[in-house]
Amino acid sequence: MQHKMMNTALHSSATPMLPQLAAQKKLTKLRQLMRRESQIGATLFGPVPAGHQRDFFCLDERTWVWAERWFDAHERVEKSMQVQYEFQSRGVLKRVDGVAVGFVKGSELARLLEAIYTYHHRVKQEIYQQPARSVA
Amino acid sequence: MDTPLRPVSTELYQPEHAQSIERATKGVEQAYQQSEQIAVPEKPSIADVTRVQPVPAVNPYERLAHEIATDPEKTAEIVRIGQELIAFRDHYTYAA
Repeated sequence: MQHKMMNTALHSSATPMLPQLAAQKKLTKLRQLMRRESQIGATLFGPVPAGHQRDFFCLDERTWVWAERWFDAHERVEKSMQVQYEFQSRGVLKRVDGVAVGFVKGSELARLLEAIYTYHHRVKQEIYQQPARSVA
Repeated sequence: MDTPLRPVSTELYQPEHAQSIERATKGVEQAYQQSEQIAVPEKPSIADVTRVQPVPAVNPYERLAHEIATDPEKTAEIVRIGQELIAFRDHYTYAA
C-alpha cells in the first residue's frame, strides 16, 4: 500500500517535470544556436571596438536585431543600444531601444541587406551544414 | 437585231435630292478646309535626333531604398530567409 502511494507520488511529480525539462533543454539549445548565429552576425559590420560586445541576429521572420554593449569609462557605466529592423510592406522600419525612428534608407539599408545575405549564407554553411544557395 | 437604246429613267430623281447633294458637297469642302488648318509639327533637325539625352544620376542606395519600399518581392525574399533560418533552428532544437 505504501509502495503504491510512493509510486503514485513519484509519477505525479515526475510526469509534469518531464515536459518542463524537455522544454528547458530545447530552450537552451535554441539559445545556443542563436548565440552562434549572432557570433557570425557580429563580424559582418566590421571590427568590433575594444571593450564592445556586438550581436546581430534574426529574431523572427520579419525582424533583425543589432545590439551593442560597452563600458563607458568616462561615465563609468555600462551602456547598450539595441536596433531592430522590421521588414514591413512599406519598407524597413528602424527602432532604436524600442522607439521607431523611421524607415531605413541609403547606405544603411544597403549594408543591412548585404549583412542579411551574408549572414544567411554563412549561417547555413557553418552552423546548419547546408549548401548556401539562395532561398529566392 | 439591235435593241434600241432607251432614255434613262428619271422617275427616281426628286428635286430635294439636289439639296442633299449640295449639303454633302459643302461638308466635304469644310472638312478639307479644317484639315488644312491642323498644325503639322516641324520636322526635327538631325541635331535634335542625335542629341544624347542626359540620364538622371541615380544613387544606388536610394534606388535600393526605393526598391525595397515599392517591390514586395524584395521584402518577401528577406522574409523567406528569416523563415528558413527559423526552420533550421526548430529542426535542430527539436532534434536535441
